[in-house]
Amino acid sequence: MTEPGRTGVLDGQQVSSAPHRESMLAISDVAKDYLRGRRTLVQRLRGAPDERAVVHAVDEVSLAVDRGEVVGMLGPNGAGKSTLVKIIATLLVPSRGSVRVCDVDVLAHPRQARRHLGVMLAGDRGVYWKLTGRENLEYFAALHFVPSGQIRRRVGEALEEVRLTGSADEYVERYSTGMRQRLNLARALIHEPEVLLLDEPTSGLDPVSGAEFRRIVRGLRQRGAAVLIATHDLAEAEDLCDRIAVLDRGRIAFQGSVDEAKTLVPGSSVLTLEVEGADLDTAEVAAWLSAHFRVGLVERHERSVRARLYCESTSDLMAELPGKLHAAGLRAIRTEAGRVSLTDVFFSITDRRAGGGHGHPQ
Amino acid sequence: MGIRSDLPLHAWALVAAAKREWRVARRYPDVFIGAVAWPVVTPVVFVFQARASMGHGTPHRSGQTIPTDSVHLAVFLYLGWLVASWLALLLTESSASLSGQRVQGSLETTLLSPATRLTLLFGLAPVLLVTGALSYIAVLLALVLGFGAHIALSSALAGGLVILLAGPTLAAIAAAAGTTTLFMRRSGGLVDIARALSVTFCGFTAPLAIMPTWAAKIGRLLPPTWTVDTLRDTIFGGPSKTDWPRLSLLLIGTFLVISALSLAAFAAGEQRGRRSGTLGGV
Ligand SMILES: Nc1ncnc2c1ncn2[C@@H]1O[C@H](COP(=O)(O)OP(=O)(O)O)[C@@H](O)[C@H]1O
Ligand SMILES: [Mg+2]
Repeated sequence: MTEPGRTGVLDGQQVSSAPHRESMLAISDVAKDYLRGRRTLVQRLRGAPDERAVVHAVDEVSLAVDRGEVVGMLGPNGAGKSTLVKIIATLLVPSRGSVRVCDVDVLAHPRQARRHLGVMLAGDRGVYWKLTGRENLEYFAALHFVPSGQIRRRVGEALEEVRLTGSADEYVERYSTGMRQRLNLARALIHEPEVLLLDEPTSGLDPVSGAEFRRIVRGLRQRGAAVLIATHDLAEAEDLCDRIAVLDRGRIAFQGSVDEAKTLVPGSSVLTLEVEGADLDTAEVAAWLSAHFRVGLVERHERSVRARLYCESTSDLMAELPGKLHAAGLRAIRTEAGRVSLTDVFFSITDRRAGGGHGHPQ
Repeated sequence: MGIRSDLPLHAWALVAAAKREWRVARRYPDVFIGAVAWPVVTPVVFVFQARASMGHGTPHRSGQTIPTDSVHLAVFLYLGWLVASWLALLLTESSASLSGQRVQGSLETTLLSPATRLTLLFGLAPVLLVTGALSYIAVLLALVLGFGAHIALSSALAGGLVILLAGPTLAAIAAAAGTTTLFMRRSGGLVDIARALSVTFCGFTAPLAIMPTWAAKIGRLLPPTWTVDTLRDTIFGGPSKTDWPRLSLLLIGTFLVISALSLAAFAAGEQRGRRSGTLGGV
């Protein structure tokens, strides 16, 4: 996406030569409260008390994404990722706080902000099933003010970018989920926006398409775009993101680099231990383990309990493990040494918030 | 970067929306087939019914004669059904298009764009203008070939002009109805009300003259009534019976007013959806 002669919004603004970094996306103290439940017309007319529960979907979140930066927003289901994406995308008005995109106040000037934003909402919805891929992109290009003389070329490029050129003239209803998702990505990129919001962009993609997607995002970073990716795929975030923010129940639980995040885990290495027993009490095993080791996620499997143990040296840990297990009447059926990953970070952050217990019994 | 300097961009977006709907309609031409079939087939029953119940030559108390001659009656009813079925199509298709886009999720992605929401309100209008024209031609052919009606070319062309002038106004009514359907979830919104109103008051099947005075008064305020009245005047009496500048002004004026109201209603609905988080739901 960087060949010369291109008249996109990012022309002549390559990051590599930029002397300073600037925030293209700045969110400060954003909160969104939803009302859950219904208030019927009768209740309203009677003036009955409002009994709808308030859900704090996003709670005082501040976050910035710089030019040429890819930030991962991680969090379990219901953490508030999509809500935040929609707030930035002008589809939702926050209850409090402010959002700026390329120095435009999103709340005061949503129409203006939309020109700088490329948004991929969650799922493969959002395109017209009864049109072809190409027709979809032509429509959205015009809608995003791509000059009419450039639409053909831009659509061709975007199709090429997401590798859909071969099926461009097929109807979208015949596309696979992954193809529709790639078309959605092309749609988000069609006007070469400076800020990209991608909500779980790879959830429907196979590994090959996932790798393709990461290639595209790296290209965007190179071009100087600011990219915010909401995901719960930790490996992907680790591979792609310059920085991550972990969202948990609407709040930012951690923000920083992937390496910084890893320091939250008590140890640099991890040993995955699987102890035999279909009738083991997961909570009991977890309690015993945490009395003797630094323990992360403990999960119940069909015939075993699996735990992640943290340490500085896996060989030292492996040496002391059999004796201790034997004393407790446990038998290891598998041990596997590895490096600390974002899974561990994620677990240690969200678990701490949950009250510090171990082992979400599954 | 006000809305004025962006005007060509918004206009281009509007063209793209029309093109999008046109492509879908071309792929699923049943909307065109319906436009030809309905107004031709439905009135036949009414013509016979009316013929049977009215007998011959009934001068009415208001002095306006109800057309009793068989060909006259056919022309009268056919033109009424032409406007009635066209309006029904406009109303149902416009709200089906908007609601369908919401379910499909493309409404939300469209709202992500900076383009005017007129793209959503009027994208379908050109297709529906074509269906109106097709219906009109089909009705003329049915009258001439099926009932042996003598329709002067000048009358036929002037009637076509009525269709062209009324199209945007009726499309605006449909856009208003579609907007309320979209934002008042799970309800027919104004579509059912508009259909009922038009059938009751617009003189599609009976002249306003035989209605109670209050009903006729309401009827005369409604653009579909002007449309059907002018069509009948033109076909029966030629183009000279109509005050064209007055009609054009009236239709264009109401088009602008209703469009502005629809746009405001859409903006209000969108804003409410942006607060409650319900823009994308199914
Ligand atoms: N329109 C809505 N009305 C009420 N509650 C909502 C609405 N949308 C989302 N929520 C709630 O807000 C919370 C955050 O949801 P969401 O942002 O979709 O999370 P995530 O994308 O991280 O899975 C959830 O508890 C969800 O149920
Ligand atoms: Mg989500």
